[in-house]
Amino acid sequence: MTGAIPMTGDWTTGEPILLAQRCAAGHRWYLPRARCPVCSEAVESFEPTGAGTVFAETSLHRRSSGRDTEAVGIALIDLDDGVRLMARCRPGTRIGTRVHVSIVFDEGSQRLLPSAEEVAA
Amino acid sequence: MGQRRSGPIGETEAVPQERKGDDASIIGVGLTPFSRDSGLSALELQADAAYQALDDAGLGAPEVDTVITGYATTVNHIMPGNVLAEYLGAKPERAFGMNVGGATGLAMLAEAARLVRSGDARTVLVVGGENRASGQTRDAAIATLAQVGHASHEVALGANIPAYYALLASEYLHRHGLERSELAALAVQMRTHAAEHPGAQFRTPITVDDVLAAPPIAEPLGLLDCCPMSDGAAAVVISRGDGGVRAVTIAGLGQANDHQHVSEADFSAFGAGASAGSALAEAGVGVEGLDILGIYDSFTITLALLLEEIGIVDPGTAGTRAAEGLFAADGRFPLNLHGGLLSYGHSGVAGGMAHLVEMVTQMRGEAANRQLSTRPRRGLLHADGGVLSAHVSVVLDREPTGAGA
Repeated sequence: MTGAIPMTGDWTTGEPILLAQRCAAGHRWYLPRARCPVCSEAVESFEPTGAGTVFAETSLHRRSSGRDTEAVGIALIDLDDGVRLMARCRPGTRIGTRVHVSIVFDEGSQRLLPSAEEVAA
Repeated sequence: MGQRRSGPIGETEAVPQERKGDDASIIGVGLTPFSRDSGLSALELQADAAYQALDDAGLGAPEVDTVITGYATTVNHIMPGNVLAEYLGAKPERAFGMNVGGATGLAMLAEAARLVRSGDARTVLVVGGENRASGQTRDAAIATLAQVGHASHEVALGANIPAYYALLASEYLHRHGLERSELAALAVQMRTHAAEHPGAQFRTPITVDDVLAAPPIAEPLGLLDCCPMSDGAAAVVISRGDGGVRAVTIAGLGQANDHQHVSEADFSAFGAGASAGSALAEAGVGVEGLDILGIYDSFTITLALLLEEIGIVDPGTAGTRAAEGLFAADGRFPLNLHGGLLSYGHSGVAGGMAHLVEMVTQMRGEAANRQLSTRPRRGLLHADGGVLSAHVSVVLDREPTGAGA
C-alpha cells in the first residue's frame, strides 16, 4: 500500500507544531504530499526553524454581514529552511522584514495558526 | 475547407505547421447584460445566452451535436451540460461540464475547437452563466471562491480570493518600486470602455482618485481594484470553417497549468507567457500582429501581470501604459472594449466569455457605437483561473487560415 499520509500531528490537526516536507534528493516543500512533487521520491517531514523573510503581504479587511472588522495580516514567508508558507502577521508588515514563524492560538478563529513575528535584523 | 486554403503559393505556405486538422470557427455569439439581480435562475440565464448564440448562428438546438457548460457556483450540479441540453432540446451526442475557474470559458472554447478540428464534432454549443450576485449571499459566494486556496494551509488562515491576489499585488509593487495609484489607471480604462456598453453593470466614469479613495478590501487592493459579482451569461457556437463572412476563425490555442495555490506559484512566470506563446505560435502571429485584446481582469493586478507576462508591455509598466491610452479604443492595443470583468461585471464562467463575445463582435464590425474605426483582423484572448493558476490563450482571426496577411 502506497500513498499513506506521511504528515501527521501539526497545526492543521491541532498540534502546536510547524512541519514541512523533504525528499532524499533534497527537494523541499510545504503543502503536504505522499510523494515528492519534483522527483516522486519518498517523503519525510521536518520541523523548520521558523526563521524567514516576508515575501508578500496583505492587510485583509473582512466585512462579515456588511460590518467592517479589524484587518488581519496575511503573508507569504520564505523560510530559511527553503520552503514558502502562508502565515498570519501584523497588518502592514513590510516585504523583506525578517520574521520568526511559530504556531499560536488565534482567538478570532479559535484555532492554531502559523504566525510571523518581526525579529531584529 | 480545401477550397479556402487554395490560392497563391505564398499564401498557402503561410498556413501554420502546428495546425492540426481543419479550421474551427465561431459562428454565433450571445451575451446577456450583467447585473446585481437579473431575476433569473442560473439555468434561465444560460438558456438566454444559448438561444441568442443559436439565433445568431441561424441554427436550432437539435443541430448542435455537443453541449459544453461551465460550472455555476449557485447550482453546483454534477451534470451542467446535460441539464442545459435537455432544457434546449438539443439531444447532443456529447454533453459535459467543465471547471477551470475563471479560465473555464476559454477552456471550453479550446476543447470545442479541438473536437471540431478533429472531425469528432460538427457543431458545438459552449455556455456559461449564473445568478452569482442574486442567487446566494455575498459571504457564501466569497467562501465558495476562497476554496481555490489550499483548504488546510491557506483557507484556514482566513484568506480569500482578494487576499490571494493582494499578495501578488504587494510583491509586484515592491519588485517594481510602484505605488498602487499606477494600477488604478487600469480600472479607470475599463470603466471608460463600459460606459459605451448598455449591458455593463457599472457605467459611471471613475478617476484614479476614486480608485484610491475606495474602501480597502485586501491592501493594496481597494474596492475599485476588484471586479464585482454579477448575474449574467454568455454563449458561443463553434463549427467547421465555411461559416460565412461573419465567422471568426479560432487560429491558435495555448494552455498552461503550473500551480494551483499561491503558496507554490512561481512569481517570475505564472504560466501566462507560455500559454500565450503557444497560441501565437500556432496562429503564426506575434504580439505586434495583434489588433485587439481580451485579457482577464478579475483585479487590476491580474490585468497588469497578464499583460506583462504575455509581453504586450514591459514588466512594471501596465498601469503607466494604460494611463497613456495604450488600451483605449484609439490606442495601439484596444483592450476589453466591453468594460471587462472590472466594469462589465463578473458572473463566473460567463465573465471570462464576455471578452470573447466582444472580440467577435468587433471583428464582425457589429459593435455599433463601440466599433473600432479599423475593423480588427487578429486578437488575443487570455483568461486565468484560481490564482493565476490555470491559463488559456486563444488567437482569433477574422479570416480563415491561410488567407495571408
